[in-house]
Amino acid sequence: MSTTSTTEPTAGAPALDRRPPALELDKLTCRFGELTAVGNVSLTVPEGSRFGIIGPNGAGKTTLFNLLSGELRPTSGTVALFGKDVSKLSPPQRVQLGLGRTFQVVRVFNMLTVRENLTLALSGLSRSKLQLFRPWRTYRAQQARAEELAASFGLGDRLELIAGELSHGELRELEVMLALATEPKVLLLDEPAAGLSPAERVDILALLSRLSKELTVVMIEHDMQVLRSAVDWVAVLDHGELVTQGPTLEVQRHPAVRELYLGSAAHQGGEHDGASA
Amino acid sequence: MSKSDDLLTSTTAIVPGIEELTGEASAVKLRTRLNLGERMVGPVAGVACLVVILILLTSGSYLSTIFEDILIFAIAAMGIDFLGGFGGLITLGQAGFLGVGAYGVAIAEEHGFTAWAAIGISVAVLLGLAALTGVVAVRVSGITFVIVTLAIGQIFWGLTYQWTSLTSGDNGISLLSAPSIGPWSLSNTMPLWVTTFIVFVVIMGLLLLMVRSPFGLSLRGMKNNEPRLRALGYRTGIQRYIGYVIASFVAGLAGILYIFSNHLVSPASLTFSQDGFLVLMVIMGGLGTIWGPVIGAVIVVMFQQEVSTYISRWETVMGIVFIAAVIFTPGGIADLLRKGQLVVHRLIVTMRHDGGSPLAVATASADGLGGAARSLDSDGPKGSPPQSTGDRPTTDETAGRVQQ
Ligand SMILES: Nc1ncnc2c1ncn2[C@@H]1O[C@H](COP(=O)(O)OP(=O)(O)O)[C@@H](O)[C@H]1O
Ligand SMILES: [Mg+2]
Repeated sequence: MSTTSTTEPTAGAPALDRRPPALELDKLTCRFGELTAVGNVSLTVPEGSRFGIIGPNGAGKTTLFNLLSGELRPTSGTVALFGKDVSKLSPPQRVQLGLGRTFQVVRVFNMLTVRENLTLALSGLSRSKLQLFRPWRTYRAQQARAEELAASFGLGDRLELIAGELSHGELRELEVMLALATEPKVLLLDEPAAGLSPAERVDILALLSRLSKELTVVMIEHDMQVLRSAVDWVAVLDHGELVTQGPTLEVQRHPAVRELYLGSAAHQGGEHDGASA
Repeated sequence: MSKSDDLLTSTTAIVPGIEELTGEASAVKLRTRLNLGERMVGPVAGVACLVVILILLTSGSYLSTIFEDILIFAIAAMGIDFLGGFGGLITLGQAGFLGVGAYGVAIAEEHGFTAWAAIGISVAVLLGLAALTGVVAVRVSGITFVIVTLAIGQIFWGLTYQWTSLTSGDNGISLLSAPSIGPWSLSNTMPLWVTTFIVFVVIMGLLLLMVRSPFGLSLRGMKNNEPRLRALGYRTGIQRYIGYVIASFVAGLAGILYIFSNHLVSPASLTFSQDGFLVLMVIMGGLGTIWGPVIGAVIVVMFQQEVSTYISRWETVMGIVFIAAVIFTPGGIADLLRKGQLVVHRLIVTMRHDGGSPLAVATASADGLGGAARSLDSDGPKGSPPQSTGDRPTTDETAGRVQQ
């Protein structure tokens, strides 16, 4: 709480500030009873940026994503997507406007095959999703797209497998694939590398680096290495409040962040030596 | 592309090696083989129907009444399975819609309409009531949905009971005339039976087509993980609404056939216990199969007709059978059949590769059972999401529910 005075330490907005904003959060607040999970957060995410969100466990990062995607309604404040206030829209309505997300706790259709998962995601924004009298397998172009997507994530041979049988790393990849299949303009990734082996981490980083430059990506991530290679701007949350934001390397050196972040990282085994950069 | 893939995997599934019993590859093939098993259902059902028709052609009208009942209730039960087995929404008010279909015809005829016009009126009323009540029903899900649909069914029952000027109350209404095309009149046993059978086959075919459509897939997605479906752009209220209207309409069509078969409809046809029997057929037969409820209908109707002549407390017996069925075969009879088919298949495969020792056969079939249960039980123990390695795994889940 004492560190909130340094809300805007550097330029005030990300380096790509000449681009129009994709997301604008205005004094966004979400309370659960006594607890303020997200308090008065104002942020601007420019189009095409790679935006990181960090903070200790319980800082309110996932809650912030839930406010952005519509899973939760804010207690006060607004969210605008490409200039349009979406605060009152439901999750599917926000998806229609180009917002896609993944979940920290993997949420795939674990009873359905990978192919069925991808088909559902690909139909999400098409009119065919209400078609009753034609088997979904006969939509050739869509199935080709599903196969292509799976292949690009190295899951081409997993299409007929029930998603519940995938390994953790594959589930994470499927989670990202589902979000990408809706062809979002803004992609929210909630700890996409959580629980992955170092090798899988490299894989997912490679995937993220191949995403279209037009796509705006907001990513919650603990791993400093992942952050350094995947995002160019970082906002820091603690106790639901924005502590600071700025270019990744600068934020890493910020004293409040080092105290907060490295402190908590040290508890987790001290594997994040962010200061060495 | 996908078709040739299918072909490829199914040919390998016919002549598999023993090594496929381990690891992920076996899971892939297991599934393909079950699809093969599913494809067998059509021919088997067709042969069974032929046998039934032959029996009917040579038997009196008592048996044909039982078969009509079976088909009529099976139609309604398949509608319940469409929404429940695939969309995860169990409706407990379908006897109400069955009643609406039957009363619609009887009341319209009483007001001087011809049989054909009465059917048209009944269909229109059905669609209207399904569309209207759907607006209320789809606002809720889970157990609340069950209760709301039950309430809707009970309102229909109450109306038939109390609105005596229209429904003659407790006495019910008798059918005045049945429709006919030339000599083909539904007042005769054979045409009625054949018509009922045709409607049954058409509805079954349509429902089987619909569960394979993009809409059917979205129903399954909704049952599996509704918040995720919403996060992919589906306004799931629409999915629920369409599913509800289809299920209710199908029950109503069964009701229209019911009045021509039974010649009388009274509030007794809309009671809660009728709802219970319909759901019983679905659960006993096997949720999520469309054809399973047909088997359930055979069992329940047989019980009603046959066992009741020997045992006066037959409903108690039915209840015990039901509880036993739920405990011992949670996937219903359809699931039992598929598991049995799988075991037989494994045995044949192992014998063909005759190096297989009896032990290998035993483990193979045991593995098959486990695997089948895993990939088929639509809400088995794997219903919970995979373990999270992130902080506080429950947070995300609760967060998802708050807004609902
Ligand atoms: N639906 C909810 N109801 C009540 N409290 C919640 C809910 N969701 C999150 N919280 C609380 O809000 C705080 C922030 O949680 P979260 O956003 O998940 O943190 P993070 O993702 O940064 O680890 C935590 O204290 C958590 O317990
Ligand atoms: Mg979180």
